[in-house]
Amino acid sequence: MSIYIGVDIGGTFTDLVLADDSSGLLHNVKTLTTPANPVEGVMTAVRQALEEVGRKPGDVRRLVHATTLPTNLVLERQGARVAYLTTKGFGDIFLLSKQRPVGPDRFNIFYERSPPFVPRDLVVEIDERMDYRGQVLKPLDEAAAMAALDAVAHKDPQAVAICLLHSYANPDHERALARLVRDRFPGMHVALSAEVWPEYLEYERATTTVLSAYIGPMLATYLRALEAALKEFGITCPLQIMQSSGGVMSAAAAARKAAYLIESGPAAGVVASAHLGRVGEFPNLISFDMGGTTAKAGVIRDGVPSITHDFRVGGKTSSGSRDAGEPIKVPVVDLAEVGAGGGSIARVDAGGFLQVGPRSAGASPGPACYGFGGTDPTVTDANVVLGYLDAGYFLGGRMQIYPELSHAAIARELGQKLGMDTVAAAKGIYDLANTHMASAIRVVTLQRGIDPRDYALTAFGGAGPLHAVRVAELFDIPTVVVPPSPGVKSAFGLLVSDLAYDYVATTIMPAGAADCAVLNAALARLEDTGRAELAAAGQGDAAITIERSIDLRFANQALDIAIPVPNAPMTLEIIRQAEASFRELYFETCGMRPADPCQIVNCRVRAVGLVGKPRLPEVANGDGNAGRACKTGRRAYFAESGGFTETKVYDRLKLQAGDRIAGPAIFEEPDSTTVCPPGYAARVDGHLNLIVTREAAK
Amino acid sequence: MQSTLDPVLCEIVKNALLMVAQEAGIRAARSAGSTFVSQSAEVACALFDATGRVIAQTEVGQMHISALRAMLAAVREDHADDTLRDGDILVTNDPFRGGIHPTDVGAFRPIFHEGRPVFYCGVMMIVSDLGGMSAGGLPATATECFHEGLMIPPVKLYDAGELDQALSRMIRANSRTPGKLGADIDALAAGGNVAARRMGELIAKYGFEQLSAIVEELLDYSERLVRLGIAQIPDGTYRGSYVVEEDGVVPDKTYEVVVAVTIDGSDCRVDFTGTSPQARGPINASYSQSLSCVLFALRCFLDPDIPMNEGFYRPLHAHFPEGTLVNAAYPSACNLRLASGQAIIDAMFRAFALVYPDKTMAASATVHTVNAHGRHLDGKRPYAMLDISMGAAGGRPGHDGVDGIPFFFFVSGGYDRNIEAYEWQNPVRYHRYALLPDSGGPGQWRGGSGVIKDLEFLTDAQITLRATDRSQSKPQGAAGGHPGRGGAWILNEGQPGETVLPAKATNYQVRAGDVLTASVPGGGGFGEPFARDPAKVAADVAAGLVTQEDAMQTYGVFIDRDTGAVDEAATEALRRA
Repeated sequence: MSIYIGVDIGGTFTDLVLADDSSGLLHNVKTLTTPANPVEGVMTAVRQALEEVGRKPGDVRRLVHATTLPTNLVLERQGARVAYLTTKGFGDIFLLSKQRPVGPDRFNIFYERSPPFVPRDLVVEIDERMDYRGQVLKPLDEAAAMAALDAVAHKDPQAVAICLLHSYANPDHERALARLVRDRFPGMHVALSAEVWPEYLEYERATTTVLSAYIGPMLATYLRALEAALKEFGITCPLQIMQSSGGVMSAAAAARKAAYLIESGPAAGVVASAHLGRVGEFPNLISFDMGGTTAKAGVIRDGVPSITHDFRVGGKTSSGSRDAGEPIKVPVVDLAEVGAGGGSIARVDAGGFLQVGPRSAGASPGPACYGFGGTDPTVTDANVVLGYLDAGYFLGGRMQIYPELSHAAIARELGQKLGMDTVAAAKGIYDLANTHMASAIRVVTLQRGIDPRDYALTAFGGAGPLHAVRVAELFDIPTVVVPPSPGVKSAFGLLVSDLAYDYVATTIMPAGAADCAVLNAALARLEDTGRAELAAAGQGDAAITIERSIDLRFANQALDIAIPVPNAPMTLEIIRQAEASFRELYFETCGMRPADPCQIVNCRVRAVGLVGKPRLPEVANGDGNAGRACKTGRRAYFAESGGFTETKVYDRLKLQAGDRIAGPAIFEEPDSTTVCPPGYAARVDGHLNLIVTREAAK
Repeated sequence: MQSTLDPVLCEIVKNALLMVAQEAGIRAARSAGSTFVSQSAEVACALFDATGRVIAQTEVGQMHISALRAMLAAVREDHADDTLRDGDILVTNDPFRGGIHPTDVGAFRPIFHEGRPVFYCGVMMIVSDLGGMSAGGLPATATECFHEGLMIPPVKLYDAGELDQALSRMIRANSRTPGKLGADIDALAAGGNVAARRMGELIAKYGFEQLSAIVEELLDYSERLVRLGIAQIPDGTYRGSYVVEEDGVVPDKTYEVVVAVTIDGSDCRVDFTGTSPQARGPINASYSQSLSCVLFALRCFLDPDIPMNEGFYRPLHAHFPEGTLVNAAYPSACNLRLASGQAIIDAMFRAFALVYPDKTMAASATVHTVNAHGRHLDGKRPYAMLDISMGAAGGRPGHDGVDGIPFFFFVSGGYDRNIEAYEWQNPVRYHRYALLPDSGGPGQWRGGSGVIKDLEFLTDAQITLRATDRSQSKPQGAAGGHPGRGGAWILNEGQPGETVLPAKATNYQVRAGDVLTASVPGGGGFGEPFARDPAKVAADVAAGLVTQEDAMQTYGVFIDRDTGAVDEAATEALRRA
């Protein structure tokens, strides 16, 4: 009799998925996001969903939330006024900055960095110093520190971030300072680098800490309000929040470690794909999420998403190299993003080549076919001209679109300039958008030493299934999986998420002569903290698992790789095995086998609370006659059939498990459309996933 | 002008080629041994056709952008096509045959199709140490390339995939850090191998004939765009020059880079006649280094998205007189070539400022480096480190200069390398890494603030100091703006035995406990300081970038010491006086 709810607030829509454990049914709700008061948007969706399924607030057993609030605070620079406390001599770190121009900005005489999150006059330098082993070189001068805090008090800080040099090795000075801050400013939101992310390398540790302080107060306020509203409504289960890593944490922990939430929404989508990897036929998946302005690609190996520790906040991730923006070290699902979505604008450049994106028509004026006054042709317009999107069934028929405007825009802006007819130009837009998305997939696969042909591609987001088969074709990926309701997949990911807390301790030592006692002490300390936080999350039924790893690198290099180690006391033998795995992985990604000795850099612990999930039983095969779902036919463009081809259109909601349909075919559901070209066939599995594969040549 | 090829396919292949170059560059950076390189994300990589024309190039590696192309010409001159085999890797670093200075090494991989080389991949990086008179191969007082490292003519390091052991041992034996150097060179080879694999896939996908036709169109496409951009600049000849300070060898002598930029329809001629003869010290630029700097300056006035390939070079006609600062003759020293390189950029900016007075910038600082080598606290294990400080950019109409990074080096951040990593790896301790108040050149638009670092050596060490340029001569202001503050190296500042070290010094002996204070120049200001908005001056004072005294004396702005607010009446009086 339990209800599970996932709510994902996006830029335009708030998506909710409700799972009813007793019936195994899923129910979707889409409401407009209410930026002024996001609590209201969430509550509207929750109320509506429970009403529609006829259940009571008290039935809700788990509620997980993904929020764009942290991202928006950063992008709009609306976060807290943060005072930053650091070691004397190093207060200018964010003015010196790791930000650099990329792309066209490299030749921009007027380039400006985005300003630091802490203005220089809120930086407080503290007289103290540790060395890299954590030995005190200069004791903390508490009286001077108090005077410095007094001096900054009139600036009225709303949060305090503390990051001292080498505090990963010895947090004493940071802790003592935090006590002084709390005495001086009772109730102040304080973030310590030794608690937020105590990894060596001060720049990244400082940005992670400052971002937590910058986002924390507003996030805490929001989460408290949401918790109160839920409670008042009668939902008593603890509120849990999706982190960038794909794990979930308690609302209280989220407020303390706000930097962990910066990619909350995108992570939820990858978690949905990971779930598909665990319960479906394909444990190895490339997740492909295409929305209105961007497309994102991630990788799931054995049902587990790839994670990066090199995320840059406010930067782009499309090039695969470290890019603009502020680097943070907390785990983030490894997503490559390109500026190609349904709203991306196509144009002819001065040199006579077709370009698609990164400029987007957004929701307003939107693609030309919306009839909101947009005159630029977009990817969506190309899909309309090619017959993939139906003017009569846009957003399930809730929105009127005008194909003639798509034709006119493409003819006017592209066809004439390129000397191509409208359909050829539309096909050009479609193909070029596909190669842009392919470049995102290339970054997370080929550039990471992964052969995409060993993976299936899973498509979601409103526009993903329109392009997925053609994108897969570019890599010879044999299978495309389109889950049901791909437009609300991120919210579904919340339902199937687990609690997870990540910890790091820096323990630099030679791998060949490691001090196992030091490693064991560090790992035990991290594990204890993890168990305590899991207990505090209030999910009593969670089964705890501990995942441990050590980061290894060659002593002459900077590239470190996390290698899993067993849950047993560390021995030199375990380290030897880890080193062998490291050398193998290094060879896979870099193609070299250096003979250099290895170094241990960090110990990592992930404490996972495996949470009870809604039962979503497989459905039995239906009558096998897919004709029941065929609603109409229309002409759609497929080059292999020589152009426009009569194509059957199916109502996806009427498909049953076991159905098989040969391409060309188009599958429509209210939030998305899947294109299955000639030479491919689609079948429906027991979870109602649409599985598209190439047919054997006849 | 319109091509007969499918413009969609051309764009797709254009992106695909760039991805290949990028992947090779990332692969090489990932596995590099040099900390300096592996801390960066990517190294320069270019793809070429069978005749050595560049067809695609990574975004990164501004410094190396023309070198790969020029070095490949030398490689092909020495190694005829019929002597090459699939799997070959050829390396070279000769500054007088396309290179920059011996420590910048390029590696080239011919890519085969039907038994003959049809493409090449070139990858380049600064390696950790290749010998020479000081660790890291950056001797500030070198007078010959032989002082800067082992000279490598174009030679086969890998023959059909087999490493030439004798050559490899020979190269390693000339390095102070053979392990790191070996990793660096392996990394270059790894990059080439990745590119060869990916190019093979593209050939298989599009067919060699079609791919070649598309490449031809890509070159024409870049040429079209460059010509469009140049044609928009008014015709005429525009002159500019910039001074270069002493070379570290001959005292009190200064040099000048002189340029005449001629715009003639859609062609651009750049002539450096009148530039000073080459210096004895290492401030000279090789031909390819100068060409990279010219390209950089020109790209600031063109569409920044134009792909860099052979077509880009077609409308550009550059003349670098031999034996001058901008095209030094064998066997001159070149490791401080950014002194002349940045003067090329500033001279060209000044020339373009005659056409576009609102799109220009005052002079920036140049990079300052400290190389140190010695032993760890155990007295046994050797170490060698390279510390880099960036200085700051010049002011621009409507914008202050960027703090802590000079323009040419915008591709790097001011805090790219963490203090904690340096203290782990080397017996050194930093006491300060900060922006230097009052160092940005005063102006209506202030020059970027320079940088100050205090670095303590915990063991005896030899240090090599390179204040590349503008340490004494100072980054110049523009349109009435003042110069930025110059630079200085001071040992044990404020202590007994305080010593001011020369701007350029090689293997200076320091003792355990000595503290080196490095002041790196601020950028020049743009426009009269009295024209600066007093509110901006007040904000600078609040941020600690300008002192109250300087606000009053240089900017004529009176700031209330207690409130930090501008005293308008007093300011007006100050500015009128």
